[in-house]
Amino acid sequence: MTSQAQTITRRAALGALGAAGLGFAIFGPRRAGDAPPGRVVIDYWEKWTGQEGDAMRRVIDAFNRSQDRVWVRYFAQSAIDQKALISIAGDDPPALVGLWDFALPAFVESRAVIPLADLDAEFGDEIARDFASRYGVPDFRLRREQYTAPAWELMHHDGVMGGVVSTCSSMAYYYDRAAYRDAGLDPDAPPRTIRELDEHAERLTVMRDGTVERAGFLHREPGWWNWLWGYFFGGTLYDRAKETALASSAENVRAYEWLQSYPEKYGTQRLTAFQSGFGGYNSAQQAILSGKVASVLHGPFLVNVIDRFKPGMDYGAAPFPVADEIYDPDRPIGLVEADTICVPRGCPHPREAYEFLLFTQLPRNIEALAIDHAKPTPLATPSPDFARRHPNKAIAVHNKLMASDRAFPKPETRAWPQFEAEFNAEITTMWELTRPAADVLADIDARAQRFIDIVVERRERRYGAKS
Amino acid sequence: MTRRVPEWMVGLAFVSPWLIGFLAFMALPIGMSLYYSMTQYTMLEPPIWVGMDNYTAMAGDRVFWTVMKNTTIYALVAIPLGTIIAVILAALLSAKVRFQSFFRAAVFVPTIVPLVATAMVWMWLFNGELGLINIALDACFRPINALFGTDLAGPNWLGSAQWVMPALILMSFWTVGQAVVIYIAALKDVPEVLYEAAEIDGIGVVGKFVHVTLPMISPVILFNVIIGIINTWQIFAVPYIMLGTTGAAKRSGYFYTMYLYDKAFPFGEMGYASALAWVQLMIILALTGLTFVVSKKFVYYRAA
Repeated sequence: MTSQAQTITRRAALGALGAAGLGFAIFGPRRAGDAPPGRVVIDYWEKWTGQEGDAMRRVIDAFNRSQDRVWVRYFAQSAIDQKALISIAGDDPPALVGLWDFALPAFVESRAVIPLADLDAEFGDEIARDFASRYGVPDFRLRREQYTAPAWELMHHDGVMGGVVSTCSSMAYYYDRAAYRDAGLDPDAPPRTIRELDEHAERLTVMRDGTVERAGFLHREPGWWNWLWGYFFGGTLYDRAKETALASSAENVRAYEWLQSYPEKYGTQRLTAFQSGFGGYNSAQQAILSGKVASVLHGPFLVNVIDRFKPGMDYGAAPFPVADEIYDPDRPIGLVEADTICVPRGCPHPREAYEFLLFTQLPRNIEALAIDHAKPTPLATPSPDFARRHPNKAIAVHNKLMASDRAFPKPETRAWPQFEAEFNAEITTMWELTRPAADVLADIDARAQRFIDIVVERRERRYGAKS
Repeated sequence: MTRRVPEWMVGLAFVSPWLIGFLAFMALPIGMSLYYSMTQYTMLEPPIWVGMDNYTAMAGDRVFWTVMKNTTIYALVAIPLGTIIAVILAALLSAKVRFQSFFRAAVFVPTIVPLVATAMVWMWLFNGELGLINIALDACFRPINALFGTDLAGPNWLGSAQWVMPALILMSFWTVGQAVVIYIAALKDVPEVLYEAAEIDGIGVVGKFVHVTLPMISPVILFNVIIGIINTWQIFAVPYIMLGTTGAAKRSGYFYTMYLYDKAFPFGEMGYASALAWVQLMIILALTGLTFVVSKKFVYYRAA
C-alpha cells in the first residue's frame, strides 16, 4: 500500500474558514436580544408559558421600564428544577430561577441558591434607597409582617430564606353548583366534614345501567395529591424535628380507609373504567368541566380552565371537609404551595438579580401576578379591592387557607420526591382494594424512612449533624 | 501555492468533528459516570466516594427489582413476538401482489411518526371507556355475553396493573416496520435456486419457509434480535409519556431507564443512577454476548 500526500489549496482552506465563520454568525451566541445598550442583562428562568408567562412578562416589562440600569430577559423552561440543577452544577446558571417550594430543601441544603439574607446584607440598603426614590416605597425589605405565616414559611428551609414567593396556591373543595341543585342539595352549603362530604357524594353520584354516570366525589381526580388525605383527619406525613416518616399513623390509616370506602361502595373496576374516560386537565373533557364528577379537591387555578373551556360554569369552593372532631371554621386545613424565585449559586449579577427579585415582591406586583394566575395572595394584608379584581369568585376561601395556621405545605425534606413517588405507585393498591390501607401505608413508611435516612446520612457526612 | 499534508492528517482532520464529539460527549461522560457510580453525587454538591455501596444497595432496592422484572418481561415477550410478526409481514410483503409498495409504506410509516404523537394516539386507543380498542372488543363481546350471559368487557388497559404490560407490548408491534424493511431486503437476497431445489424435492410452502427462508435470513434475524435487546432495555419515552413518572398502577409499567432517569434527576441521586447505568450496560452486553453464543447453533452464514 502506498501513502499518498493530499493537497489543500489556499482557496479551499479560506472557503472552509469562511463557511465556519458564516455558521458562527448564523448559529453562534446571540447578543443580549433587544436590551437597550448599557444595561446589565440578566436572565430569569421560569416555568410559566401562555397566560401565566404573559403575566410575569408584564411584571418584567414594568421593571425594565422603571429604571435604566438592568434588563431582565424571561425564559420559559420545562422541567425547570432539573434544568436549574444542571446549570448550577455546570456553573452556568441564570441570574434568577423560579422553583417550586418543595424543591427548596434540596437547593438550600446543598447551597445551590444564595441565601437572601446574604444578598440583603450586601445590597439591601442600596436597593432600598433606589426603591424609595424610584417607586416611592421607603425602606423596602423582605419582612415577615408583609406575608401570611404559611407564605413566609414556604420561602424558608431550616431557617434559611432560599427564595421569595412569586405566586402561591391553596387547595380547596371545588364543586359544581348545578350538580348540587340537580341532586337537591343546597349549593350554598358545601360539606364541612368528611361525614357530610360522604353524604353529598352519595346524593351527587348518578348510576345508570350499572355504570357510573356522574361521581359525586373522586379522590383520584385530578390525582395530583395522592398523599394528603391524612391531613384532613388531623394527621401529617413527616415529623421534621425527628426526620421521621409518619405515613402509617392512625390518622393516615383512617384517611386511606375512608378513601377505600369509595371503591368498596361503587366498585373498583367501575370507577377505574369511568375515570379512564376523563380528558386532560387543560381540556373541556376535564372531569368537573364535563360534568362527570361533581366535586374535587383542586387549586384556584382551576378557574383559568373553567374560564377557557366552560365560561359561565356555576362553581363553588370551600375549605376541604375534615374529620368531625377537628372541624373549626376559623382554622381551615388545606395544602399550600408556592412558586418561588431564587438566586442560584454562581449567579452572574447577584445585585441586579436581587433588585428584580425585590421588585416582584412589591405588593402591587404580587397582587397583579396573583390575579393574572387566579391564585390567592401571600400578603398578610391584601389590598381592599383584591377580591373584587380577582377572576376566582371563591378567592376568599383560598386567601383564608393561605393564612390559616393549619395550612400545610408538602413535607419539607429532600427525600420528598421519592416519598411522594411511593404514594403515587401504591395508591392503586389501595384503590383496587388489593391490600388493607394500613399494610400499604406501613410499607410506604418503611421505604420513605429509608430515603429520609439516606438524605440525613448524606447531609451529616457533608455538613455534620444538625444542631 | 499548495502545501502537502500527510494522508493520515487529512484523514484525522475529516474524522475530527466526530472524534472530538465522541471524546467530549461520549468517552469523557462514560468515564465520569463510572467514577460517579462509586460516589454519592447529587450534582449540586461535590461527590463523596462510597466505593461499591451503590452497587450493593441495588440488591435491597425493591424498585430496582421491579424495573428489572418489568423490563425483562417486556423484552422476553416483545422481542420474539415482534420478530415473528416482522418476518411474517416481510414474507407477505415480498409476495407479488397489487399495491405492494403501498402496503410496504403502510407498514413502515408508523416508525417515522414522532414518539410523543404515537404515545398520545395510543393513550386514546387504550382508553378504557372511549378507546377504539375497547369499542371493538365490546362489539365482539356483546354477542358472546348475550349468548352465554357472561360479563366480558374490554380491560382498562393503562389503568390496571395487569393490563399495562400487555398494552405496551401490543403497542411495540406498531413499530415493527423498521425490521420488516430489513427482512424484505434479506428475503430478496435468498437465492431462487434454493427454492427451486426444494420444490424439486417436493417441499411445500411452509417447508420452504422453515428450511430455506429462515436459515438464509437467520443472520438478519440475529441482527434484529440484538437491536431489539438493546432497544427494549432502553425503553423510556413512550411509557414515560403514557404512564407518568411511576409507570402507572403499582409501577407495572415502570422500566429500567425510567428508574435510572428518576434517580438521576427528580430524586437527585446521580451516583446511584450512574451505577444503574453501568449495570444496564453490563446486562445488555451479557445478553448480546449470550445471543451470539446461542446463535452459533441457529444462524447460518452463507459463504460469500
